[in-house]
Amino acid sequence: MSRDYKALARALAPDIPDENLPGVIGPLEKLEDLFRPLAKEMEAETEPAFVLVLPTEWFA
Amino acid sequence: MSLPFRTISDAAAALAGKKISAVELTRASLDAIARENSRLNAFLTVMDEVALAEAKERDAELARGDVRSILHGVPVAVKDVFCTKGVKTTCGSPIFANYVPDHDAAVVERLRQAGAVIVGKTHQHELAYGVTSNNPHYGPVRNPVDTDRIPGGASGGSGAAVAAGLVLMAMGSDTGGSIRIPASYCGCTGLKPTTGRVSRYGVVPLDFTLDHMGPLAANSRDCALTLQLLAGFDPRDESSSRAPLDRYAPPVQASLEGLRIGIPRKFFYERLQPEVESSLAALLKKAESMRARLVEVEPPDMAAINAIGRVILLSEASAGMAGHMGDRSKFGADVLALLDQGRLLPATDYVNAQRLRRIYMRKFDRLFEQTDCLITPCTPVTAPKIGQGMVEIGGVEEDVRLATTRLARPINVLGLPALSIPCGTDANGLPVGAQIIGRRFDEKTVLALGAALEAG
Repeated sequence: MSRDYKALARALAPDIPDENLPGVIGPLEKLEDLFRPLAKEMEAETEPAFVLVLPTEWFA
Repeated sequence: MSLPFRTISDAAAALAGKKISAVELTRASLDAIARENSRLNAFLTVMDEVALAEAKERDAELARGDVRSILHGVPVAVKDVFCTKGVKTTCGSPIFANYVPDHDAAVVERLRQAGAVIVGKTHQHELAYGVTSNNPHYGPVRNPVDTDRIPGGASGGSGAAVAAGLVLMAMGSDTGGSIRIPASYCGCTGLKPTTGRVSRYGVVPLDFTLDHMGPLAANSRDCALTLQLLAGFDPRDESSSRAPLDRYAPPVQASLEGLRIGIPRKFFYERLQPEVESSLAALLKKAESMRARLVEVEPPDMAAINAIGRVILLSEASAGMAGHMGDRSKFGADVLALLDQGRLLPATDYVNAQRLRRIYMRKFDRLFEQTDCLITPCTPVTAPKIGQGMVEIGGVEEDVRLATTRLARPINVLGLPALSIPCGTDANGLPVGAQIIGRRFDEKTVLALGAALEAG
């Protein structure tokens, strides 16, 4: 199910004016079609490429 | 007229042999910029007085026999995202129009320590967020080969300045191809090093995990000589690596005997302008004639990697600019649309993109079990015209921005080193670029192959 980007755009602060939406929503929906199925490939324990490593000197 | 030397090595030899002084060389660069900038719009700021004063100091050192490095007294430029103490750093945006940093970027520090003379700040795509360098606030940068065409971007001014011979090296930043694409479109050489190899400290960020800093120059050797001076750990950059450094300067006559060059036909050799295809075919033939072994390899789903990269970039760039969204008049239409797209993406997509990134990095790394490096086209087409929105490739229309970044963006997601070298021209004389991709931190092989192919 695709998102209601128009409603989300109006809810943002500051919002995205209606006249700007065609150039925003179309590309996002195309990207979603490519991206969303990929998430199904992942195991639950897959970590992000970049993880938090606390520098030891913070606690010295 | 451009500089009297085409390469850093030639300029360094002339300076060492006292055939030219640093002041004379710097003046030649400044004169060339003064003549050409109205045509190319490659520079946003020219640092005449500072550059000449620095060149004078470099000459005094030369007279004492003190040579800091191969870049001693050599005129160079940096893209306007690199902070320069006391010199405005606009990022090609009205938001930073009056930003005068109180510090130098790490790259600028290292260039100055190496004795390079920084003559100016090069023009770019607004906020480095695009590949056309058609900047609505400061005018378009023009390709020196054909001024009706884009130089690529975001480091378009750096590509144009090097290709036109205004400086011997210009620094760029590369988030989705922004060093390699201008190199490809303008006909020079550009290196995106491995993530963590060159410090990002003091560079106004576009994206926290995709940005890379690297040189554009006349050839691979000059990129290698520059990398040698820039590479290394910097505690001020959280992503900086302690991985050991190599000696990057390629041998004068490198042998390619035994080198396994991967050819990923799927995705990378699909949907190309015919002259790009034929130029790459000729380059591969040349590599084979130099006794390299060509190995056909099958890459993972590169369209997926591009989608992952776009989700990461949209999210991180919008996060970085969130504080400036109150005044929409300060953004050009293309950048504003991208920033709005990023604001609408959910955080879950961003986190999943970073998780998928890890998976695809591992998948792509497997290609290096069979190969030492890969050769691909850098861009599927030659430089489009300024203002052109779509390109037609094989009867199919494609957005200029997506076509231009299609083959370069995945390498930022993967964090691998990649070099663009010139490898031919199309029927209009526009340059074609080839991309050499290496293992993580193996810039040495990438640069050696680039140098051998340029010389062969």
